[in-house]
Amino acid sequence: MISERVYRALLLAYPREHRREYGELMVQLFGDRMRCEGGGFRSLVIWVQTLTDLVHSAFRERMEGVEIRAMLTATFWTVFEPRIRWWYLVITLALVALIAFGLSGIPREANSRYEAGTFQGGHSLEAALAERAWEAGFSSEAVRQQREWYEEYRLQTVRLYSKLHAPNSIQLVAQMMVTAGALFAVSLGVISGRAARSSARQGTARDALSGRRWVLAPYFAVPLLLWIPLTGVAVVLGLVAGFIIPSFLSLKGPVVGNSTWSLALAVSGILLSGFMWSAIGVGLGTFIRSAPIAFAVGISAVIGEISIGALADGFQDKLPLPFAFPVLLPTHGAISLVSIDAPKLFHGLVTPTFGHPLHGPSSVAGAVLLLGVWAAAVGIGLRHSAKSALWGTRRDEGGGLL
Amino acid sequence: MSMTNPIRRNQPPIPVAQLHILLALATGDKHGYAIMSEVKAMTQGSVSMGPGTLYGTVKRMLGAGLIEETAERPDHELDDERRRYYRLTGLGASVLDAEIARMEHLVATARVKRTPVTREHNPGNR
Repeated sequence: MISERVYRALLLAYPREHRREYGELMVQLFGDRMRCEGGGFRSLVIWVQTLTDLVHSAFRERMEGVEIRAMLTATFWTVFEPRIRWWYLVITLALVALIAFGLSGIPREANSRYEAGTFQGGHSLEAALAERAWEAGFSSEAVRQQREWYEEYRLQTVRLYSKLHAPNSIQLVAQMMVTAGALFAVSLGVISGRAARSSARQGTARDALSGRRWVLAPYFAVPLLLWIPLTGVAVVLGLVAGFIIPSFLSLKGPVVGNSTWSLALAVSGILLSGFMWSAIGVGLGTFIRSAPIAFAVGISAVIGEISIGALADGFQDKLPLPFAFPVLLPTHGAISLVSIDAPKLFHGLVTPTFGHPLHGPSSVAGAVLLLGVWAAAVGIGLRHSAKSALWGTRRDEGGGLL
Repeated sequence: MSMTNPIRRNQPPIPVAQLHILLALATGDKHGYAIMSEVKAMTQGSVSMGPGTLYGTVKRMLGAGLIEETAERPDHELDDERRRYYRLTGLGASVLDAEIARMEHLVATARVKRTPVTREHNPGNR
């Protein structure tokens, strides 16, 4: 009977031990009901009732016996149970320094552009002035007009810079923070994975966690909770450095922060990206349990962020739109993948034609790919970490999770 | 069975699903589908236990000692060997009696305290 086969497959929603004990009985009961009460529309009603019952009862079975306080306590000690090694501290400080350095560089970079009076694309004012003067025939009146035009043009440049480059700078800040956060989250993922494995072998966390797979959820929160304050420290250090150092060098003040909307987008992106990266980091960390690989992933994110982003920006202005899209799609998708580029995604959704007409579509397409990878990474990480890390000993005993 | 009465006076009410199963088994041993059908009949079709709820509740009741599996079969020729039959334990019967008494007391109290509800028309209070 097809219905019974389908229902039997749906029983995967229940914990294994419950399925093993009552799975056949549940299928038999469902089959009895379909035979005795089913037929036509009544079968549909039975299916609806059964599915509703399945969702409700499966959730209850998975929740049974789990005490939230014991779970959180065990999770906390599971993460921090290993001895803090000196290189954890070094890596953390390095990440904070990286973010601070990046933030301090933003105002200086902004000031240099301000002084040069250039657009984002590198079109210099001098070239534009020369072109306009050539068209005017080099007369004195033309030169006066050109001077007036130059000043107006310079003002326009400054205004345009304030509108365009400041949000870009904030986005860059956000991306750097996200990338650094990714490194940190991945490293924490390795730590938590090792802690989970060692705790499972010692049987300390396993008992406290009552053998429930979904209790890995707090592992997502712990790296995030640690990452946010450290990022906050880095932001403060970076902004202090960014404001103080330029003032010592007699540079003009930074223009970062004059767009509240962009700042809000960036902050939202930071939080969202931090959570996602934490999830991936913990999932990967508990899965691969390899510090070198985890850090390679993070470093690749940084390098990819810089190189692929530069590549995409270099291509987009040189190609016609029909050709630019296939170029931008994988590159922006790759940017999103390596940097969890939520600020760019939000910006692309809000202003699809900002900078380049394809920024929005390519960012959205890249984000779709991104979400798929997120889901896959988290799912795979959870499954494997649950099977091989936390309850590996239970699996050896013939239990297992799935 | 223990000589001490495990039913405490201030014992909280048992879940509705457990009460329904206890009532269904009060009339004799039953398997899963029979319990479900009995509950449905008792409640005039307003309660329809799905397999998940039924066996989840059965598991907890077995753990609490309210019901137990029985090897006795009503008719070996007509019955499916894979079925499991359940029956009330002494503790389950006591819990059921206590629950019924509690509900009777509750209903009696409600009947005494209940006053006719007058619906006053108040257009300003919608």
